[in-house]
Amino acid sequence: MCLAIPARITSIDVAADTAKVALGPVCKEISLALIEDAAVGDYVLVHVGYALNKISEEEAQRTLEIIAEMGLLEEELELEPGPTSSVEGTGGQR
Amino acid sequence: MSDPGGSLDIQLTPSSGGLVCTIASTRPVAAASAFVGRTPQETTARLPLLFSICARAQAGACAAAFEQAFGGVASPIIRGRREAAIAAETIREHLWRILLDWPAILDEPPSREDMAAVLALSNRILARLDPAGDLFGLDASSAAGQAPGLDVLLADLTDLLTCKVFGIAPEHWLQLIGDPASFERWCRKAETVAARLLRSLLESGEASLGQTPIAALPTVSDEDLLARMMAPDWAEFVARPTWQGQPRETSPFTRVYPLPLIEVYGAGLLVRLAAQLTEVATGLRLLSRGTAGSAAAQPTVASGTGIGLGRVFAARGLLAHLVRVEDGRVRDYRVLAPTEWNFHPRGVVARALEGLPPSPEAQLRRQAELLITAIDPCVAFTLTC
Repeated sequence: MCLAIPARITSIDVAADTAKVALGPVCKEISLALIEDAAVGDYVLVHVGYALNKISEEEAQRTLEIIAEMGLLEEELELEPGPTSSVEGTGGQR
Repeated sequence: MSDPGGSLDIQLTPSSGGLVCTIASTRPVAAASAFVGRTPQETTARLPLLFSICARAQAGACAAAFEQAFGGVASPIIRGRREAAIAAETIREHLWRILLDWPAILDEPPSREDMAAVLALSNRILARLDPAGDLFGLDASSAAGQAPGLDVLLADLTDLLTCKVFGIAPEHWLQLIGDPASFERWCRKAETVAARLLRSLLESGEASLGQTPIAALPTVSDEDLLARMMAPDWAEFVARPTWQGQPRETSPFTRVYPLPLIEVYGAGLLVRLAAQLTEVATGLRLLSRGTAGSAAAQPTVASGTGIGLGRVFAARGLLAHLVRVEDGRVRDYRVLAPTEWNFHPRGVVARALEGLPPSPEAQLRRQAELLITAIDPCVAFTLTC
């Protein structure tokens, strides 16, 4: 619960202050509005659409290993992508 | 990539008897079982990496659980530092809601620049409180006394809260919240997003929305909670907890209860949002008092039996960790988090949503989102109504 996933930045849109991040084969766009000096190749902790802070590659790998050990990552990738028929609330965009 | 932290699917359906709310959760409530087989040191090092949103609260509950299991107690200075770090984290979590989610309710853009400043500042405060990164370890040795440079950072945080959240000094705000008339004047005059949101509730007549008969989680002894989390049906308990057969609430609202505002506005939306603001201001007060051990940071009772329960009050309510250690290895690790109490299928959110008055769909959705945001699930949610 209350997990933040480490992800690697693969590209940055400076004008929009957003980035594309990779987690295994999955790609997602996130906001960089809350952090400074993010660069392609950096690892960031992602929480509901925002990069929270940069972390070292070593810390990212350790965290991903723990998440994978818990079986959360595999399940996640199997489920992806999963469009929902309902409309998300404000909290859903956090 | 949805969130492996899980999400909540909240559905609100009209029926002949009124609205019916169902809440389904995919939160991995038994994930901490993955620490089984690890050493205590491995567990305390890994747990904050995994639960990184409320990392200090999680680490605080973890450290307290191991200390109780081993019969050790951290020094008053370490306990004070831990409490301060958890307060800094709690402030940051509430500001996430206040600066990013509250503006959306008012159709205003999120205050991302302000939240970025909050994140940077809270990271620096946490680094000063825990310079060696071992504050929540079992052999915590963080330097004693006042953290150097902390005063300047706290002054910056006070300025930020004054300008962006309260519009007045946070200490002054804490005084006026005790007087409903002064509080209402603040709502009507202050020009921050927090004041504008509360003002909008007063003007729309929605201040009392969402009152429920759900009682607060009472003070539960370590022995009773420990027995419940060790029972054979513990997995059901941590997923959908009840106490004495009833769903309960544990939240900023129950923590600051009773606010005098309840007499005027009822225990509804406005008071719940005010409780979150109160937690920000009292968290700053705790941080500003210094970190050399505060009266509130009581030691846990050391059992030394290999079984320990650690409890902290996290941003969203009571967080409890249970650990059982045998032969130097974790045999059981269980977490009971506030979201499971508050978003119980028959809990405070479900009952508050079912109590919403009949209204057009757009208005119903807006009010439902307001209530969910005010009780704050800490994970993403979808709302269908």
